[in-house]
Amino acid sequence: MVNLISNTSTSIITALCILTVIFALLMLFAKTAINSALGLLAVLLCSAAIYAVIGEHFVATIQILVYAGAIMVLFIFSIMLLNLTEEEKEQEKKQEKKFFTPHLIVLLIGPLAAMFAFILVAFSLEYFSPYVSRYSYKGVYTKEHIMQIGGNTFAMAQELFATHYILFELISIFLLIAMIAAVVLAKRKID
Amino acid sequence: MNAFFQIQLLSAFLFFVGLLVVLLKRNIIIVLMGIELMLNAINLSFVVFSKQNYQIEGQLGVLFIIVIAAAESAIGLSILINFYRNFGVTKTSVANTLKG
Repeated sequence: MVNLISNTSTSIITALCILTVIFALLMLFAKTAINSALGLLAVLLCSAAIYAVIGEHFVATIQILVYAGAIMVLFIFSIMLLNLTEEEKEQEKKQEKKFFTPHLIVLLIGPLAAMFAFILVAFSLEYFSPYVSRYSYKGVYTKEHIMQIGGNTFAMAQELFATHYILFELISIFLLIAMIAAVVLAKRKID
Repeated sequence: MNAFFQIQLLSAFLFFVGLLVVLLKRNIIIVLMGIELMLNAINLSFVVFSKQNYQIEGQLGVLFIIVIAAAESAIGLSILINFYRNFGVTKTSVANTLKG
């Protein structure tokens, strides 16, 4: 593997990974919905920082603008809108005691299998890629090439608007349809 | 350890936590947040694989995944508002009137 990332960046990435794990666990074990939302927000910001450190500036910007901005505002808005009543809080406290039941172990099997599948794929691509390198497809966007054509954002724009423009148009129409659907669904009565 | 491999491990762990949130939490808002966390984990994995192989298509995929996540959360939350209007709570255990 060519050394794409300097040693300082590697230690920054390690620190960010540990922070992200901590915030994800905070999200999982949060007692209220708003604490969970704040944990998710911190996870999204940390992953934006990871994107920025490995050099993907456009993805980092979009992550902050769309994920940490728009989507989190939607979530926090609906948490505020759908306020829990006192009775529900009492019920939650009663149910909280039954958190660690035997079926939790059965529930853990699926997520653990997913995690190990992920790790297996990453591990095999990491350590067996030198042996199968003549079969794997390497693109043209090396660090030098990206610097030569004027940065990561420019390279993405070229690829998006010159090669994959049909996908771009389709996704914009899809977004419009989703917007109309959200308005129609949230309306009380359609007249 | 390689930085890229660390990020892959982080991605796997975030997917694990997101799936656990979806399976364990009883509030529908938090379940939707777990779905967002899983999508974010996939994004991390996409970006790192595309960076490793000197490609840029992975980042375009991330762009599209973010758009779809935004649409999905908007529609999901408007369905959730309807659910709250009908039942008065946002619990997964209440949504049992559809018999199959």
